[in-house]
Amino acid sequence: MKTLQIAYRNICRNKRRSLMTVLAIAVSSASVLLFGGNISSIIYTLQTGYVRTSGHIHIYKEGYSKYGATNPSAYGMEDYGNITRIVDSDPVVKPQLRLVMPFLAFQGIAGNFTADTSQSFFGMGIVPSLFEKLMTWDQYHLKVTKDEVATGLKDEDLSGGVIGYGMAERLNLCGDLQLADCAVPPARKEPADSAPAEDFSALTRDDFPPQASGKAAATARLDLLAATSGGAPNVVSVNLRKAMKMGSKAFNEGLIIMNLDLAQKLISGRGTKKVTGLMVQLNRTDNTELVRRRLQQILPQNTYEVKTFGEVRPMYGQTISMFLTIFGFMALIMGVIVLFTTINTMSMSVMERISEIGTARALGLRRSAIIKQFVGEGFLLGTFGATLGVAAALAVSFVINVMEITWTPPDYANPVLLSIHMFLQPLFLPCCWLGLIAVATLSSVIPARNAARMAIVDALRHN
Amino acid sequence: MPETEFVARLKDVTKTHMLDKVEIQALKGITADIPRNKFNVIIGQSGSGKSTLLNLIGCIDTPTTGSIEVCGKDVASFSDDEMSDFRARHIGFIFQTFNLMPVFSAYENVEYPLLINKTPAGERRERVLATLEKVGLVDHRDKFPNELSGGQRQRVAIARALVKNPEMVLADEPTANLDHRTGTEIIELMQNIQAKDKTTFIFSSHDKNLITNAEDLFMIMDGVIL
Ligand SMILES: Nc1ncnc2c1ncn2[C@@H]1O[C@H](COP(=O)(O)OP(=O)(O)OP(=O)(O)O)[C@@H](O)[C@H]1O
Ligand SMILES: [Mg+2]
Repeated sequence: MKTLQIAYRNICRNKRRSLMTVLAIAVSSASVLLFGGNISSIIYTLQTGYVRTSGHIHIYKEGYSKYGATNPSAYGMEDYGNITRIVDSDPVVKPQLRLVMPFLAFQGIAGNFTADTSQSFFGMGIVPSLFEKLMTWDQYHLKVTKDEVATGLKDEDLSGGVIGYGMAERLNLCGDLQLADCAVPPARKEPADSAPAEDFSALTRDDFPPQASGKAAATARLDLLAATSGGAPNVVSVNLRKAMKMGSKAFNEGLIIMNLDLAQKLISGRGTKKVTGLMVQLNRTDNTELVRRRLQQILPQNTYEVKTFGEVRPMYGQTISMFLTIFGFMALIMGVIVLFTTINTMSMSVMERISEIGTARALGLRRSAIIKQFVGEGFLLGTFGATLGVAAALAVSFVINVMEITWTPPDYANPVLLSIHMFLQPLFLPCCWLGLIAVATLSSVIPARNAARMAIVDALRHN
Repeated sequence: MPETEFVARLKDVTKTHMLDKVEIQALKGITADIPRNKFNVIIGQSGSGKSTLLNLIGCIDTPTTGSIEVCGKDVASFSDDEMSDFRARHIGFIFQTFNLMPVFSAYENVEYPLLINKTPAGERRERVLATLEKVGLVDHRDKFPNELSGGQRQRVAIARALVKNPEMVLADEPTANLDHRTGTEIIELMQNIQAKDKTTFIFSSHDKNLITNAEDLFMIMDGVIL
């Protein structure tokens, strides 16, 4: 008869107690898995969000990340076509590469003349076709929001753009963009003399006459004011095709994405066309470091800097470490619960079986075999509990994922799906399962050793 | 195992128990040779030291002073594991309270010592069935201890002690928890087996009327052999 078979019979002796122990371990196991699965979803959703909007790697002119914020034009990139070709054709990078896209990030003031509203904004010039592809990256097959995400912009629509939903509301574009559930700001009473006769849109009206489109497509015109790289103020008009719900509150209330051509017209004026940098998106996040190192080798030394999305968005790493800390703490607590539950159960089991232990020892069973026997019982309790926990966690996560519950993360404007994914980290589930079994097994060592240490005659007298 | 005349030889053996800092001298210098292939009987009143003596012979306890030779071996030098293996091979126990494993069937209880001393599976089955036959319980082999009467349990225990063909079987008051008739039957069973197989038995009792025809009788009183 095998140790585990005997162990199984022994744990069946006190069914209620064993069941309670198994349930306690199962609850711990399920909570660790569900919480960990949720954290893992959040982290991978965050990563997916970053990669879908800004790729894995950015290439900037050397010094941009340190000084670019205060003087973006001085760190603009001119030969981006060249660099794109280098990246595109490198034999090491190419197999990992999904796309390279130039982008121009800037700030300015956007004005809606018809509604007499304006606000500052972050501008992002992109290549629409590439950006559309950028946003479909889906290494982890995650559904982030209920809404579909696409700008709908076309490369040939040179003055096209999309705006954050919140910003559209603020600028009173609800009507023009045909927005549903739109928060319209209350009508303002302006002192007559402060009302400008003409706003700066008048400056551009002649350059870009409003397109005489017959169809009733939702569109709105905004005038964008920014400083060119030369330092002179410049104005262009963007034809907004859409208002998009963006996750981050800052973007939702302040981002305008537009055709790179339009952004360059605004920032470069009549000078050389520049971009802020290049976004490199890879097929898999895992290859980010590899590609980064390669890019550092093949790009001209000391002229360009190569940054991963983790460096560009330090919040990513910070969020991960915060969640991992919370998870570690919770896993520790659950581990301790399993530890004490098992020690308690096994100690009671030992107490009840002292004379059996004495008998087995008298029959010639070695101390180590006694330990093995009780540890086997702890192992079985742990295995049953942890496995039950895995099953429960799988069931609960399935239900939660199907229900498509949403939540709004801190500093987000729009809800994202609350999901639990336990397989994104392939080792996560097996490690939790094995970890709890190990805790249950190891915690039965203490009572088992006590059982084995007893003097045989004392154990036999214990009746 | 060297063929000696005696299965156990005790020389000036004392045993002192500690009970809450109070020393209780259970054995006060015992020198005795226990003959092989006999039905040895130790008679003594309650508290006279019978169990203590059998525990020492059975290598589940060690003397305070003096020396014990069991089956020709000076067991004092053994490590705990060596002692366990020695018991597993050479010593069978029958207890007053039967001490069967409640999670094992009658068959499995008898098989248990063979698992401990690693007897091969085929031989195991043969011997378990043969031994159960000897005690007349083959038909009850799949029953669990709680499904058996006291007498039947003690028969299973006897089979468990005999199944490994030990050098000796120690039976510490095996009838004390049985009614008189069943007790007598158990003693007769053991004596019959002993007569047939020449197994060495060391049997203890406080009731000298229980054994009328004992050939090797040791009387023990207050920790000394008379
Ligand atoms: N483990 C122990 N700790 C303390 N005292 C003990 C221990 N074992 C035995 N004794 C004491 O030693 C003496 C001899 O005990 P032992 O059990 O050997 O006698 P016994 O002849 O077997 O008695 P009984 O017929 O009641 O079983 C008794 O006074 C008993 O109380
Ligand atoms: Mg006794």
